[in-house]
Formats: sequence, C-alpha cells, structure tokens
Amino acid sequence: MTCEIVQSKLTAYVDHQLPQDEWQQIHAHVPTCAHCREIVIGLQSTTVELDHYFQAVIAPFGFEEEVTQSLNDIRQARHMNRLNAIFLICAGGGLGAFIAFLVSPLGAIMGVIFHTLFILVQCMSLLPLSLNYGWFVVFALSSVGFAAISFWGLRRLLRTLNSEVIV
Amino acid sequence: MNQDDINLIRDARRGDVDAFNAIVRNYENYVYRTTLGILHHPSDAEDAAQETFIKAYQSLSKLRDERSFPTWLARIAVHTATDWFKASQKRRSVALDQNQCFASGDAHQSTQTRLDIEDAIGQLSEEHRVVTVLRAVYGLDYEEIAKMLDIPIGTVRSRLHNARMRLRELLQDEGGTHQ
Repeated sequence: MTCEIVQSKLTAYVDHQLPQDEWQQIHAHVPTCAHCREIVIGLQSTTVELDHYFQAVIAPFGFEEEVTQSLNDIRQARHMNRLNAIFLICAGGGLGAFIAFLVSPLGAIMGVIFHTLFILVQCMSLLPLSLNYGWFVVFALSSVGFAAISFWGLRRLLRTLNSEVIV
Repeated sequence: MNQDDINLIRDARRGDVDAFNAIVRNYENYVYRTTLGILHHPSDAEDAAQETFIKAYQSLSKLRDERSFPTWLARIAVHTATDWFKASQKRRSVALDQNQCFASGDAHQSTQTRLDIEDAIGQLSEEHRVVTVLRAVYGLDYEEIAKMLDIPIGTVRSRLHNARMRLRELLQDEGGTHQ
C-alpha cells in the first residue's frame, strides 16, 4: 500500500471503520512512516477535541418547556379541528336526514299537516279584524264560559269518584 | 438505548404526553448538538431542534422499531437543520454566541479551544458538517451514516476524511496563531 492510498484512509483507520485486513495493513504501515504517523496523531487529537466539543454543548435553559408548550398548542389545535370536523359531520348528517325526511311519504304528510296548521293560525289571526275588534268581548266571554264549564265538569267528576278533594 | 427509553417511546406512541416530554428531556442535548453543529447559529439551532421534536411527535406512529429511535430522530434533526441552513443562508450570517450553549465548568476544553473548534466547524461545507456531526454526536458507523443520508459508504468515508483533515489543518493554524 502506498502512502497516498494509506493517507486517504487514515480517518477511517482512526475511527476503526475499515475492514479488518485493511485496518491491519495500515496499522502495520503507520509506525514505519513518519508522515503518516504524524497525520494519525493529528487526526486522533482532532477527533478527541471534536467529541469533547460536542459533549460540552447543551440545550438552552427552558428548551424542554418551550417544546412542551409548542406540543400543547399543536394538541389543542388538533382537538379544535377534531371538534370542528365532528360538528360539520353532525350538521351535514342532520341536514341530510331532514331533507330525506321531507322527501319521504311521511315528510309529505307532515308537510300537509304543517301547511293546514299554518292556514288555521293565519285564519285565526284574521278573525279579530273581521270582528272589528269586538273580538275582545267574544274572547273574554268565551274564556269565562270555558272556565265555568271546566269548573262544573271537574266538580261533577270528583263527586262521581267520591273524592275527598274539596274544590 | 435502554429499556426505559423504549418503554417511554411505546407509551408516547399510545398518546402519553408525559412520556413524550420525558423523551424530549432525554434527547434534547443530542438534537441541539446536531442542529447547532450544522447551523452554527444558536437561535436557529434552537428553533430547528424544536421543530425536530414537533416533527418527531407528529410522525411517531410511523416509527416501526423503537430501538431505531435515536437514528430516526437524528435523521429528522439533520434534515430539519439542513433545510434551515438553506433557508437561513439567504437571510443572514451572524456569529455564534459562545456563552449560550455550553455546559459550565467543562473540564475538557478551554474556552479558546472551543472557539477554535467552533470557527473551524463553521468553515466546513454543509455536507462535511453533517457527516462530522453524525459521527461525533451519535457515534454512528460509516454504514449507518451512508444509509441515513442515502449516499455510498465511499462518499461518507471521503467526506469525513476531508472534513477531519480540514479541521486538523484549521486547528493547527489556530493553535499556531494563539501561541
């Protein structure tokens, strides 16, 4: 092995990253060559200094807390996204179910009932106008009449049942 | 990698927040060394290290074997730091603030030696810094580095050799200058 070839492998030799036979060849060469020996000593010292340099580097104070905070923010954002997705799915599902109900036969029947009720309410709202506000009197008399009938009915019912409740 | 770390990773994969915080505590120095070694800028290195852990957290479910966690995390750190490096190259070039990121009372190296090494690392190309960091911080085999960076082992060998020789020259020059 020539010095040129050996020198190109000296870092791998120092790191013990060569195949066994190659490492042995270089190991045999180095003590015999002053120049290669000098390079090996330099590389070994550089390697040790590098290792010590990196070993001395530590993460800044409060780094862990910062990472934890960032992760909490991410978790919160994920949670919010999940809730939003659930809301959208539920809203979409509900809307779909409502539309399906409306287009179904049952929905059509309900539609007719609602329509009828709407017309009835509309008619009742027009009644006071047609009575020319005399409807106040009609409403009051009707209420009194209904109350009297209810009271009378209730008394009869209790008497029939021999109830001890006194009205 | 010990059994405790493996258990922590398993728990974190199941969604245990405290377990992942413990992982951050155990690996923060490794990740920060990697990003600082590549970026050569404390503030960027801190941000990149933070991003590394966030990426790791988000893709932890993709990790197949818990035992490969350190190399997996190193790969994320390297990619994150190199992306940051490319982006920051366009932005600025600020010197390293040395007092911020070293263990106090380090018995191994004097401040001057540290500064020399720092300067020397800063003069390496990005490719050389990456392989140097992976070897020095994680003690990875050449084959592992080759797999991680997806390059031939011969390239790893030559990059590491050129980087180490350059560092040796620079450190010898610096040593000569200070004497």
